Amino acid sequence: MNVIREIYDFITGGSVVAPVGLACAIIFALSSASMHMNDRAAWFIVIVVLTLLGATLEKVR
Amino acid sequence: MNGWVLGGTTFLASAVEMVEAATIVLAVGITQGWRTALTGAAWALLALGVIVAILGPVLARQGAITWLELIVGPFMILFGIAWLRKAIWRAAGRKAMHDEQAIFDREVAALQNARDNRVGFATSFQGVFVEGLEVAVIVVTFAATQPLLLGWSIGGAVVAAVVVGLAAVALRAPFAKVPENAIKAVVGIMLLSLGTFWTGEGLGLVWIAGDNTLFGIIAMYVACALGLVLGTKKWTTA
Repeated sequence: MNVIREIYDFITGGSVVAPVGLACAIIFALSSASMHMNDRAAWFIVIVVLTLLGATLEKVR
Repeated sequence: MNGWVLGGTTFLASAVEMVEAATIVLAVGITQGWRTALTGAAWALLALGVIVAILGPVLARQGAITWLELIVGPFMILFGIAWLRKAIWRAAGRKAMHDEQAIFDREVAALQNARDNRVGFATSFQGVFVEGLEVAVIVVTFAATQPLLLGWSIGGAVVAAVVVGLAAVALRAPFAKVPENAIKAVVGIMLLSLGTFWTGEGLGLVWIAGDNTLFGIIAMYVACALGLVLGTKKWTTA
């Protein structure tokens, strides 16, 4: 279990928000096929930015 | 993709990690002798070199870049967020700054009690290997997505390791005045930007300004980071 924990921390820096937010961004980009490619790209970036925001504020308090 | 962007990113990432590794190697050198310290460091660099030498060309030879971008890109995003949020926390006063002098003093105190040279060797090896592993992963992932620029990625990391190594030998003191946090923030932004760009390409998204979109993404993350430093500072002190 410790090894898995170490690998998880190595990749995510110990954040829970980062991998979850990133997964949401990827799922959104894959599932929004009806949307224009440029709009999908813009929304993808917005979700990644929100992920950065959430991950940074995750352990601030 | 510009080779300078990749080479510059691996240079900065390697430089900041090697500064931290140099502190540990210096502590071993002063307490247990330079032969032990440099042997441990050399073996660690060799191990990292083997990882890059085996995985780099293997991934660089893969024809289908798109699916590699989809695998590598998310890792870059996660690495970037991890580097950047720590830098933001430190800049906002939420987390203590990395103090190389304090780490050096702690390592020296711990090593002075160890009489066996193997402890020094293991400490030096582990210090360089652990600090360098992330850089090796970054270089390998760059190789996967930009195979033609593999030389730039490796070159940036090697030049930084040599420069820091030579400076450490010349100074024989921990690098207490290197602006580590600013460098970490830059590396975090670059990893996050490249990761976002490559993941998007892997997903089949179309960037509005083609490859130049990368510079827009970098500018956006710089603005976000500055805003988050101010916001976190306010939130922490409130």
